[in-house]
Amino acid sequence: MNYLDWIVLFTTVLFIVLYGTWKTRKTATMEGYLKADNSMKWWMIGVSIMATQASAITFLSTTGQGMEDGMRFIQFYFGLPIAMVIISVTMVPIYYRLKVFTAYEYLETRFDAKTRALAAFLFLVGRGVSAGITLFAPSLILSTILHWPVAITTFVIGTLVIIYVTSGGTKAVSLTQRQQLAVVMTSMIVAGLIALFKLPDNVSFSDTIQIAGLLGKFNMINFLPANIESNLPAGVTSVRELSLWQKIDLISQDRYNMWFGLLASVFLFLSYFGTDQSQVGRYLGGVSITESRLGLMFNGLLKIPMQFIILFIGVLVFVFYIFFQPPVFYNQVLRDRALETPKADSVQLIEKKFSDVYAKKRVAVDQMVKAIQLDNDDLIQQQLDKVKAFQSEESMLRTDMKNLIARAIPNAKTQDRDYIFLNFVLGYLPHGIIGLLLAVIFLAAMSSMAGELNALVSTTSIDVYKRAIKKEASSAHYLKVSRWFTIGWAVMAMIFAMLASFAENLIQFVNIVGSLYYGTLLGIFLVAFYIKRIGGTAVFWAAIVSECIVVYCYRYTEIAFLLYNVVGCGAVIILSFLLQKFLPSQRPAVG
Amino acid sequence: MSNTHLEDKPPVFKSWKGWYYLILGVLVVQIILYYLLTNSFKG
Repeated sequence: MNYLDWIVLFTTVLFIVLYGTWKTRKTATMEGYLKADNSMKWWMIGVSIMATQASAITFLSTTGQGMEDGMRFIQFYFGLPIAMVIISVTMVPIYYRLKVFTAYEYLETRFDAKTRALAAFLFLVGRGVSAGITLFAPSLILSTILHWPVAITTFVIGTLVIIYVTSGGTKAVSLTQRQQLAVVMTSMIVAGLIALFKLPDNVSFSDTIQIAGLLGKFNMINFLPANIESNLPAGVTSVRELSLWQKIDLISQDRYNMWFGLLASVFLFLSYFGTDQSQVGRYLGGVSITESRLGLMFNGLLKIPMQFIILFIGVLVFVFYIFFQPPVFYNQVLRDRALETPKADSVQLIEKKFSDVYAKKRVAVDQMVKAIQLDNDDLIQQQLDKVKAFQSEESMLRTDMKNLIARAIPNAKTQDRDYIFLNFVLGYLPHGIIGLLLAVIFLAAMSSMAGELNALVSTTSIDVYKRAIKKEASSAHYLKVSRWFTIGWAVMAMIFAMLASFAENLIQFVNIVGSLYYGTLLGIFLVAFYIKRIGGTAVFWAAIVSECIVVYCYRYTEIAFLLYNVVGCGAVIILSFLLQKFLPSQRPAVG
Repeated sequence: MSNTHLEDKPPVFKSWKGWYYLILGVLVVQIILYYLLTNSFKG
């Protein structure tokens, strides 16, 4: 990084923080602070929803995922448009009719105070941890570049968010998110284009796509697990011999495929967008129910293409690193630290071997490009086999390097997927653009953290403080308390961020944390919306037992985390049915 | 919040069903497109 990068980085970040603070400084009521005085248009809601979901983690991990695992992660988002439609039909009208600030207020109207408290508690714990992870990713990057402790970088980012969120609340969050998402997406596309234009002159866009496809990166749709051939059960020699149950078993252990995309992820997104206050809060600030619904439709239309673009940028970086030698280990700071240990010679030996393998692979790649341009299928296959064989060798050397670094630096985090895109940015982008891309990481983290903070504060102020501690007070009092809660939750997020270094792949960890409580939360809301004869006590105890079942699945079973949403939700519905049979019937008041 | 917030008339289509069909239709088109891309470029 040079002075130009620093100027771009600080100017971009500070402008957005100061502009957001100044524009929303007159926020003087709790309605303004928590619901933006119901002034948000559909496109503001749509952008705010997308920006809250897309954190820095999205841009770092997803590009790394695209490079390593291809584009199959896109299937995870297929359930999102379906969830948008269901939420628009069922949940939005009820929230508007009851004029709630938070989704959990509705549960007291429908059930009782203890069910509302349980749902709010699940949300606060889960989202509080997630907010920490959201903050951790950019903090780690900045600490890597500046060689500062993670605690310092975490403090700087957290403080910037506190400045504008305590000033304007939801209005400030929404206003800054628009600018943040615009800068983020523009910069990401510029980075992708630079990767493409830096490829050798004889490699066209069509060649790039074909190379990515041949090497398995265009794997957008798979009905069975991608590596099923190598995971066949004992006694089975081909996929055709698998029974239906064996296929279902293998699918249930796979994270991203069509079935999970269209079934399990619907549950996750229904829960996230329908019951998680960090998203419900975004569309409850709409001018009208029409604007809120349109905001959800906006997200349903654009989210998958947005993820496609981010994953595709990861694939472009993958092709880029076929023509330009990548490092063996992408976290260069950790690699440099390993060079200062007695294992330095071994590190250099692996790097030498890697360079030799890469040189041979590059020859095979050039031959494969020629074969593609000649449209010679036999030659393509021949060279493809060679390239794949060299890739396997590279992969083994990468594993050796990770093991070596783990031995050289005890407790080192050797999962380097989240550093792939960053390595490309720092190594190959022009100055100025590097600063802008680093600003992107900051802005994405800030926008997502701000949305989460705003939701944590709404729930703490409305569902805890106003409900249980001080029921009657002026709007100014609640505003003042909400601002203190903002600071309190931001500090909590900073503490969680400092403890988050154990997480391997960040985006996966966030989704796993979400899946641990989303199923139960969704189950409570589905019972509330659709099963009128079930009362609060039945659903309360059903939710507690269901959460225990989900935690058991996480600790003691191998099932894919997306299924926790189905398990938790299904358990709440079934158990509350059973429990209700032993309890006096209860007619709901509203809903 | 006044009752004007509850007034609900979707733009472009006569009812919200039009929007829902559009969202789900676009999803189906994307899945088909990705399926074709996957099969066209796989090694």
